[in-house]
Amino acid sequence: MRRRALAATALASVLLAGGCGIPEKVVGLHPAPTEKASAAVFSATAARQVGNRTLDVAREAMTGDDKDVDARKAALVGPALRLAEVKDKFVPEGQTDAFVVPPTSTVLGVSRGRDWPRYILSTAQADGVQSLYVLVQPDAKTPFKLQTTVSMQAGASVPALPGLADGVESVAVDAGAGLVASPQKVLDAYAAALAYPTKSRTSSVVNLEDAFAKGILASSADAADALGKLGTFKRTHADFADDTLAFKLADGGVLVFAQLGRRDLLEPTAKAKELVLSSTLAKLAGRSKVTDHVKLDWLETLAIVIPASGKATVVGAGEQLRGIDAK
Amino acid sequence: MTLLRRLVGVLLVLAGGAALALGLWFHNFLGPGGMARFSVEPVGSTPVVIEPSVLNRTGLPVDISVTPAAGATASIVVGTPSDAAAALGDTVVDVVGPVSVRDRTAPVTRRGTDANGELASVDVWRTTKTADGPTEISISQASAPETVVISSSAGGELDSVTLAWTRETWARQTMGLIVGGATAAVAGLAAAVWPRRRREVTR
Repeated sequence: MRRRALAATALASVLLAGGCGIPEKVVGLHPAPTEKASAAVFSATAARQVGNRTLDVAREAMTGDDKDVDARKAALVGPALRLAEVKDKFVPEGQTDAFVVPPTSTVLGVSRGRDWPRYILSTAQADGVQSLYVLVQPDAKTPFKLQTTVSMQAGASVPALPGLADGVESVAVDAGAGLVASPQKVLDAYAAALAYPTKSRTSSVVNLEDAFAKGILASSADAADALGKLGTFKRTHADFADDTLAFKLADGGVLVFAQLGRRDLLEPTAKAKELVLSSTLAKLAGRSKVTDHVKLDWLETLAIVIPASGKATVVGAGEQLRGIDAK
Repeated sequence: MTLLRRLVGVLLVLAGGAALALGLWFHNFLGPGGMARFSVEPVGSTPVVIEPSVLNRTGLPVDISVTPAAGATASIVVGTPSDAAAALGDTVVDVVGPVSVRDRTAPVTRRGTDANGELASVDVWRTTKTADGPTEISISQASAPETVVISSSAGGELDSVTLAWTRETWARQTMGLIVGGATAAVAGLAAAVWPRRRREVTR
């Protein structure tokens, strides 16, 4: 009996060891997990790697000389490219902060979902100035490029974005549900209020108490006063609509990045016949007097927070002269 | 009873012998560390793609060893399956299929029609690694599902690509097969051929 029991035990052990559940149980096979379509496109680590590498390339492109067109187009796009393409002569010596990309940055958020275009929002500080960066990848076969760089205004802050793992949702520029107004309407209102002459220097959708708006309004008044009856001053804005981006904040608000083209037009009246340009303007325009007009083209890059309730606020802004026409 | 005993003995010898042979084969395959290594075949100048259906079917990390041919540079990139699919497009690739334990290989299947396709954009890849000699990368399951694409520099070829899963339990299970099989075979042999002792009756 004992031998038979031993034989049965041995057989059972062989079966248990080698015959049951091979290969699935032994190997631990299971179906491959599926992708999460609603999560961030990158892990935080990958976003930092891609973000830093993109900004490294962008830094070189932003500060390269005027002839380095290919390098710029490979690293920059939209507002950032427009800014980098500004001729060196329009950038006052020592005033290059608009083109500085610090070596270390912090990723604020990455796009949600699996579709393109994809975005990385990051921030960095240089010389005490905090800047916001938007990196964009239009499709799978194109590397990320720097799309927007904008300095934050003193004392301004951006409400929290959704967690890095959750990803940030893009918002259509004409989508205003739950907001005081859509990003496009806020932008239009800001541009209209900063025009000169303007119908109204107030807005029901955007706060005009920020330092940038105050500066623009003050310079318009100064220019008009300085010309007096010798000339007219007009200031108009037009946005680069295709480059406006909006991202949903964690509290339901929206963070908007946009670039406006601003044109300042000075024309002598019939009474004055000609205008004498300041030495700085004369140097850029290549002439000291004009009889017809002086046209100054500027780039204004903006970051606007449209909160879940209340008026929108411009939290980041910068201007850069990019062209002058004098006759 | 003797006939039944011998029949059970023969069955035990057969089952034990089979388990012993299987155990010895797996011991030779897995080694004392329990590493299952499969050679991707064939490899050459076509990019090799390892999809989640191979990469993420167990809870174990996958160790991928790549050796480029002399003078070539191997590139290993890791990304999410949808990103990899978008980046590859219709590029001709060799997709690694289910492993063959018997042959110790991971056969590939050709896919795609664009022979001149390029692995553009580094920005869809979570990890990028290049090497001009033998190199390894370990893919954990923490960020599954993922796709790995291995390619050689233009004009170059890959010499070998192997996938390895390691689990010490497999080595112990293999030893269990060997010991259990041998025990069963010996017991069966004893039952089959050992003469039964006669009971002596004492008066």
